[in-house]
Amino acid sequence: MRTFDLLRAPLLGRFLRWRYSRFVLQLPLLLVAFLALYDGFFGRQLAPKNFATVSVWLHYRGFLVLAIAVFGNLFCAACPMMLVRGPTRFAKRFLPQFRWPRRLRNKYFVIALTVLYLFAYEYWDLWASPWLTAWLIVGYFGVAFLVDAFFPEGTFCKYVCPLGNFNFTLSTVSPTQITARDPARCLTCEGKYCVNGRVETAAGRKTAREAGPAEGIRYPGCETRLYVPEIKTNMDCTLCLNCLRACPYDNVALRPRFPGLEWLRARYRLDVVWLGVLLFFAGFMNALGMVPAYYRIAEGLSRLLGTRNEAVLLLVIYALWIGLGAGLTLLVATLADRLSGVRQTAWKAVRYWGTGFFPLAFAMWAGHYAFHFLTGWATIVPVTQQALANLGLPVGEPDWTLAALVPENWLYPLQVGILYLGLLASSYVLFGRARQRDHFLAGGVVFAYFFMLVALALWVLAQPMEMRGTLLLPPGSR
Amino acid sequence: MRRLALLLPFLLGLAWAHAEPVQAVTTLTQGPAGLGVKVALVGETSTLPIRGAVLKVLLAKPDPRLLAWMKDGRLSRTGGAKLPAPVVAEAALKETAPGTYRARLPDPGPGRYVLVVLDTTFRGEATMTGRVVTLPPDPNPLIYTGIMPKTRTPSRYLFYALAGLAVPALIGLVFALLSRAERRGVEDGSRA
Repeated sequence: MRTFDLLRAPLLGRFLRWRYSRFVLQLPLLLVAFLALYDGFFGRQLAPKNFATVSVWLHYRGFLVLAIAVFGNLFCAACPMMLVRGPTRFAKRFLPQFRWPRRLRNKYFVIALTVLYLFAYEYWDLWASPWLTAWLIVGYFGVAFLVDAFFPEGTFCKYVCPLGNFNFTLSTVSPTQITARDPARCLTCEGKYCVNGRVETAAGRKTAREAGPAEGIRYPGCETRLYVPEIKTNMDCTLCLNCLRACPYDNVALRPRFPGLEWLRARYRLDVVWLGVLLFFAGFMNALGMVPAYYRIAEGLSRLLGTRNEAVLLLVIYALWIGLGAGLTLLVATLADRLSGVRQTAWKAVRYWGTGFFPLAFAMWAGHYAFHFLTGWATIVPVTQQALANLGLPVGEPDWTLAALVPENWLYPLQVGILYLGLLASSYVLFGRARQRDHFLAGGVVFAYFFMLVALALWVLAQPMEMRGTLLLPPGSR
Repeated sequence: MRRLALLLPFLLGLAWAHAEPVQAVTTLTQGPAGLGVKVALVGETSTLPIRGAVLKVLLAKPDPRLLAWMKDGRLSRTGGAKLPAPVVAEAALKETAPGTYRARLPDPGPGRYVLVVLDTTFRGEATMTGRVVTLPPDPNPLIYTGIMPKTRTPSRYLFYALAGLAVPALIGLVFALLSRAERRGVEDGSRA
């Protein structure tokens, strides 16, 4: 297992090692983005029949979790927004350059942006508006361009992009990881080219900084500043494979792995753990917002607060739920610490036990996305036909009957199965951590907390859920 | 794993209702070889034909309990597939065109009956629509439009899903106990 390297696999390895492989992956998504923009702005403003809403809110998210589960962070690798690099490199010649503020070099800023994004998603019903979805794409490209133009490359991916950080966090469950083929070789590497970049000049091999503007063949290093032999987690890895091309010793591998080892061995920073915790509770909230129970809660709160302002109600519900989640997590982690005889701050306790949230967060989002993806999976065919027909291309008459091909008998069992697997993986992490301290009960306490959360999630997923972005109404509303 | 295997049939049997309200247009005609029934199912929201439905057509005696289910002589309800009245004729409908289903019912003789179209597409759920008819029908076909009403995922499925949570809990527990035993073994070995 240790010797198998996907970068050396027949065909796939050859493709991945090819200089333009990332561009080839980005190109289809760029075309999808253009078509989504066109249909979002100029197409029929009916979400289930518009390419912008169907591709972004049903298919992109569905394929994203699938790719993460079976391969890795492919969607960051194929991110079309990184194609702004060409224009920003040109713009950098004329624009002042800044360093990203030290205080923001963590995940807290991304956590805030993620909450903002989820709030906007609910408040403006982004899933129901092709026009707003198109503007979201424009905004995303615009921010990527601006951040990339004024700050070092990779800043946007690592510190700003909510979607990228969502992918980073979820890809901790991925079965592959970048690693050094021979870590000993890295000890004698003179330039750490995988992270510093490599420039082959007439005067010899140099790092990007040493070479400056000198002429030569350039191989950029890791955008998010990861040093290959020290990579213990997929966090912050965009799978751009710059490291592979920058390493002059061909010492970079993409190896299959058991993700459980990462959860047990990696020492995540507190902000990273909080991002995992947030993603679980936000995923739960995202699903809850689509079931009747949410509307009853909102009505109750509306009476209590004496307001019908949706933004206020949404903010209060989000703040209460995420605050409750964070508070309970702090409490349970501290209790587990005390039980295992460890006396440290609550933050450190969360850092130790909160790792268990990574598989659970993945399961929550994967279960939820699987539902939306499968309820509208075949719709992509007629919406693409329609969008292309709007462009004047001869693609035939859209067959909207495809929108009704829903494997409904499988939806709930699939979601249940995914959540079971998530809880199982979390139990591995929690009891593994408890084992490290030789105190089983401590792990049991946190596991009981997770058990309760998953039971709640199962209840939410069993409720009649809005089939956002599809032509169909919720199950249970026949 | 054994528990997981035992649970699997329950989970696979989980059912969800149709994804949208469904309109059923039923046409009843008298033919030489019995009663011809044609049912056209159309999604109310999507206006798309509903394909692949599992349908049955039944003729039941107008028992007072069955009539009590009906409002204005029409039946539109969900729940169990069993009618509270003797069924005198039934037939499975076959899809002959997208969203169109046909069957032939044996003629039960003249009289008043309740004609019911029963949908059991999604396991564990049944939804039906129907009305009182008088046989034999007029020479003109009898056309009746009904709505397959709201259904709910049975709460027992959620119960199964929650009960099944014991599986990951149990595996976690076994893992913990095994790892504990293993550690004790290592400690004992090191002491020895």
